[in-house]
Amino acid sequence: MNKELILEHYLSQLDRELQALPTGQRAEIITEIRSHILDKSAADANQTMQNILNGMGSPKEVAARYLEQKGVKPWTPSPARNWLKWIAISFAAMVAFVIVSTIATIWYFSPLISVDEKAGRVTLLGGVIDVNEKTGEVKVGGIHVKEDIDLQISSKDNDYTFRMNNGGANRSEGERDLSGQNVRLIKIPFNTAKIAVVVGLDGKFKWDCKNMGSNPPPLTINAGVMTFDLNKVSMAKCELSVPEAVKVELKGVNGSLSLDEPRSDLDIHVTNGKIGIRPDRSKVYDFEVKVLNGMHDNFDRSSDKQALKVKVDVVNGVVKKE
Amino acid sequence: MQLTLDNWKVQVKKGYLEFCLLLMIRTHDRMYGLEILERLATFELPLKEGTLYPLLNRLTDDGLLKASWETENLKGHPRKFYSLTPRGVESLTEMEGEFNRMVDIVFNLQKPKGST
Repeated sequence: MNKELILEHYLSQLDRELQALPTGQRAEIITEIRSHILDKSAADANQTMQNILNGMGSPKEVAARYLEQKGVKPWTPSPARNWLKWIAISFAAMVAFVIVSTIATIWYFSPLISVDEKAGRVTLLGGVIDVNEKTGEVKVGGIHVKEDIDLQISSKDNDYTFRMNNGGANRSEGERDLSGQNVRLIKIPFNTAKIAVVVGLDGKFKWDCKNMGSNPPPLTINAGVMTFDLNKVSMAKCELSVPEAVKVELKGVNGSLSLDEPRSDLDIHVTNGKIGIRPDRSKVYDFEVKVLNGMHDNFDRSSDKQALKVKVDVVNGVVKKE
Repeated sequence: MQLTLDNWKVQVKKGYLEFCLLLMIRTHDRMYGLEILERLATFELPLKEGTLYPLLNRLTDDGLLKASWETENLKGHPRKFYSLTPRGVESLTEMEGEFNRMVDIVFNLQKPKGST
């Protein structure tokens, strides 16, 4: 071991023996002793470092003299300190156990959430919870729930969220004949809903909705405008049939809309949602699709005056051609 | 007998060394550790460095000495120089008076009977 290492080892031992003193005082003492030893070493090159240190006395002896002069008792670990030490070790072990268990759980169940939009299926914790939108089945562990399940999938910046709801109760079903009522526009405002729109050929507006509560259908007709107001119905799930050649306006937030072979002009405004449109191949459409924060499929534009005008304006979402 | 004498020397030296240390520092204005040890050795007052530094430390805490770190040349390492504080000078003067009085007492006690 070279001189410097021997000296540093001695000084670190001395520092430990002086632990009863404040850090500043210890540093001052260590610096002075180092200075003295270096002085002695420089004064007599033949002296080995070990001899010089032997002349000083052991770190314990030197520290004891300092502490005696200052009237301080030497530092020894007390039983209380031992208890604290074991409490700290136990706590650290518990934290380590929780971290390791969490990592193991995540690894075992990974991926935590899996969304298969095409299959209409969401699985959590590696399949512990399995929601199948198409069959309406929910599995939680080994338990099957066969009630009617409403599943909503909305997207924002490709980050999916979902919500389950028992929509089996509070069903509302009905129709209103619009023939001869000169209705030129059907307005459907909504707030968090899943709406499927098809075209009927019998001139009637029909609805089959879940989650409508015991209230009467929110349908009004005024000055050629029929309004089917789903704004105050939370999480409605509706299948609607609209007469052909009547313009439909769907406007709301948080929606999953599907429009099957529309045969009239459409005006759709959605914030946070997913819209699927399946065009009628026998019709000519002029699509005007705008999506802010999201994506949309390519829809045809047309300058044909007979073309059906379909205007879609979405903030945070997806517009798909089905 | 030797053991008893050694104990007596240790007892006497305790205050005596401290007194001599302060006297020497006053004479030299300012001194560092190794210099003090070497000077004490010439007076046949050997002191281990493991004893000197704690003593200097305590005298500084008591306000009799003041210390300052100085580097004598650019290549050298810093040394801690000690000098007397005004309170140290005052205390030393009192110690001298007390010590002289004690020496007088001893001197008088050492005189043969009837020589006063």
